[in-house]
Amino acid sequence: MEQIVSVFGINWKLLLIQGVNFGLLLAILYRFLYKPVLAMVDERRAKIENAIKDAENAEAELGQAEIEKARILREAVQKGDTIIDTAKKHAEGEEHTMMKDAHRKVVRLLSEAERRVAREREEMMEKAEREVARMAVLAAEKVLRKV
Amino acid sequence: MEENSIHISLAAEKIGTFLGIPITNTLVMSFVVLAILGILAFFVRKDVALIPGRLQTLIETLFVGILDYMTETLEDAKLARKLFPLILTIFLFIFTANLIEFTPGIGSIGWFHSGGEFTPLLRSMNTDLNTTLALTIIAFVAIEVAGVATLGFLRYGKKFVNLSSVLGFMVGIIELFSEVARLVSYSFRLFGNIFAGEVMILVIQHFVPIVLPVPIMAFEVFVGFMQAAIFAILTLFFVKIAITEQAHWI
Repeated sequence: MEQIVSVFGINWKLLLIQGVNFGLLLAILYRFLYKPVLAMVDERRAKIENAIKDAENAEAELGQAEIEKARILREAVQKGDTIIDTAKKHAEGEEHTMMKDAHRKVVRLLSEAERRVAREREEMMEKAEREVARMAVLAAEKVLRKV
Repeated sequence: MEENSIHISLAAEKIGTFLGIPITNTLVMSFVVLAILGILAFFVRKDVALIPGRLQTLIETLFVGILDYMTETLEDAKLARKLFPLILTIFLFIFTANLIEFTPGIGSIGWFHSGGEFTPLLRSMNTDLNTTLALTIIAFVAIEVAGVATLGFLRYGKKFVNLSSVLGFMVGIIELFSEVARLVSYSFRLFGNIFAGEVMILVIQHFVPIVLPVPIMAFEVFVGFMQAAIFAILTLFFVKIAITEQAHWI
């Protein structure tokens, strides 16, 4: 053992100082190399993770918006359809009543006209009768005078 | 005469004394490695941004890859995060030292003593058992601490002192020996590989001083990378073994 130590020049002071030297290197490299580089890697990884999460969220939101849009569109179309339907029905009803009104009016006018014609005819007949009677009386007078 | 002989010393050469601490050329080298990595870290720190540049992208890819591998191995993201600095620092420290070991000037700048002996100012860091043993002790302590912190002292201790059966007791003793043997295997593996590489380069340079050493140097840099990776990965694996409770059949 003694011989090995002397041949290889082993010295506890040298061992210690080499150990301290290594420790110093470890500290320096840890402080200036490992820590900043790994911290940067971690930071970048976190950032990328966040970015991917954000992108996923945005995509999900976009999908939601797309669905919302489709729903709104469908609802609008439905609403429009019902509005048109009611309007059509309303218009049909209006038309119907208008026709009915018109019919009624026509009927009334017609009957009034008929009545008026009948009355006029009666009046004319009366007049004619009276005229005929008068003519007959006049003729009779003339005849009587000649006699 | 000194021109023709190869002088090889297993121990690092002492170049001075500071406050009673012998300063060896490998110790100076480890300060150089510390400075290089410190400066590199400082420059990375300065430019770290949310939108990464090229260097940052490279470093982040490496870090995240290593961290993912550690998480996969340990099956514990928190512990992996805690151990990550230690494992990576072990790797970077050893690898940087091995990478620059053939830089011109390292091992060739120095001075001759009166006896014709040459003392280089810088010597490849891992060719000193003090360095590798210090790293090994740190790794060893980290492994034991991780084991105790994860399993608790009693459950961790049961791996080594198991009185429930004879076989269990024997296995515990073997575990204890293999645990301590790691101190030797770790430190000598790294030291031996790098030292052998240095010696081989030295010998080849002695025969053919130009061109031929180049592919060998390239190979030695590869060996240096492998040894750094092995040291770090073995630490990781032994932590995994330490935090795993022993099988119940014993």
